[in-house]
Amino acid sequence: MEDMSFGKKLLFSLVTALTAVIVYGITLCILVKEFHTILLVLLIAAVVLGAFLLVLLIALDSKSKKIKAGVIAGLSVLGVLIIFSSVIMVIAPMMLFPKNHDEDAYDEMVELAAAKDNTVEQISCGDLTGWRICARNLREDDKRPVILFFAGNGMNSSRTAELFMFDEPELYAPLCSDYDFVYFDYPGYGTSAGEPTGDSLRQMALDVFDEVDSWSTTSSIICFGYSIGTGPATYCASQKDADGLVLWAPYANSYDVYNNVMDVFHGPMKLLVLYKMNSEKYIKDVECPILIMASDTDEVIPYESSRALFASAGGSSDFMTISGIGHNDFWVNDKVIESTAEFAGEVS
Amino acid sequence: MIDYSSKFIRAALFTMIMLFIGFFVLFMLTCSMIVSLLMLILPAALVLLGIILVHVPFFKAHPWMILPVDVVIAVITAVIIHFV
Repeated sequence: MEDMSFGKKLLFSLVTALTAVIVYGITLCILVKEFHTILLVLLIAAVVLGAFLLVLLIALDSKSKKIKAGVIAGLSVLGVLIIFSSVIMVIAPMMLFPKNHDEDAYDEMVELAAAKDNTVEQISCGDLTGWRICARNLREDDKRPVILFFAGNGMNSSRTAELFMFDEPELYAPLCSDYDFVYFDYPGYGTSAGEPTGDSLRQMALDVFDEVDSWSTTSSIICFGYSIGTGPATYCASQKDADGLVLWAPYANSYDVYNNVMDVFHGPMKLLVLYKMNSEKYIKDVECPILIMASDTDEVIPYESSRALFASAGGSSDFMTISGIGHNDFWVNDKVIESTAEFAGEVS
Repeated sequence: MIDYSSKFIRAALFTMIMLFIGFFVLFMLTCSMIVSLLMLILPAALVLLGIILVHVPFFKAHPWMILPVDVVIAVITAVIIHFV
């Protein structure tokens, strides 16, 4: 070591530090259960790329340095692209659909539903489960409009039902006094089985609409979507005979959602977006009245994307800008809730 | 020390650089700022530590012992970051 130049010492330290930082990454991935898949994918991709380089170096042994340098540079660019794509493709669905379930809220709602006092009812549709918050001002057998809700990706039906029933009953009264508020968990969420994907959400939207439509007490159905749920809600209203469509913080297409996190999903990079939901296209086929609400300070769904969706909507559609609120503030804003209830009253 | 002209070593270094990029992108997108910043700060600190350690008599005689020291520091950092 004494004979080594400073440059060689630095290079040696760099290699040991690089090894150590990779151990840091592997340790963190092992400690976080959700990262196990991506760790495996990264290890396989890196080892395959390394093996490929080794084969190329052996094959190009007799070639000039320039050719070797060109091959290494090309493989490096390709390698970075492959690694980047692998990370995006594995973690994006994980981030997009965290498959929430609130065990305490679920137990509380099960207990309340067991009382059978016409306040809340556990519902199912195939492998999907959820809650029906019964209209407070109506008797059990009365016909009533139903607000069919498609939630945001961070929500689950039990916690929302708990909010409606216990935590904020006055705030949410406009949405469940004269209407049933129906919320089925997405596949993989709550106690619903399956995997949340674009296809499964579209199929779910159609299935739950048919289920709600088959209830003897249903007089009309208003599809209501929030955030990621605006996609399936719009699709449902475009395929089924809904009486109204309410969208809170909607996106024109799922690329806008991805691009708001990392603005790279253009051209061929769109192939990395596995969650395909083209609301812009679906909304053209919606024939019922539409109410779109968006915030100009929404940090998750770009306001411009909501405007683009509105621009694609035909017929009786209305756009309401709620200024100065964040993405999650829709749920605590009286104006938003009351406007939604008013719209539901008008169309049902 | 390390024969950097060896094809196998070059391929191994390439694999490690790809893994480094992968972890950096992963942590940058999913974890807190400190976790992703550590992907840059930690190697810089470890390089400095390595340069200092090569002047310590024990590590002068056994330079490969720097690697386990770096690795232990990295593991401890990861565990602390995860649980704190």
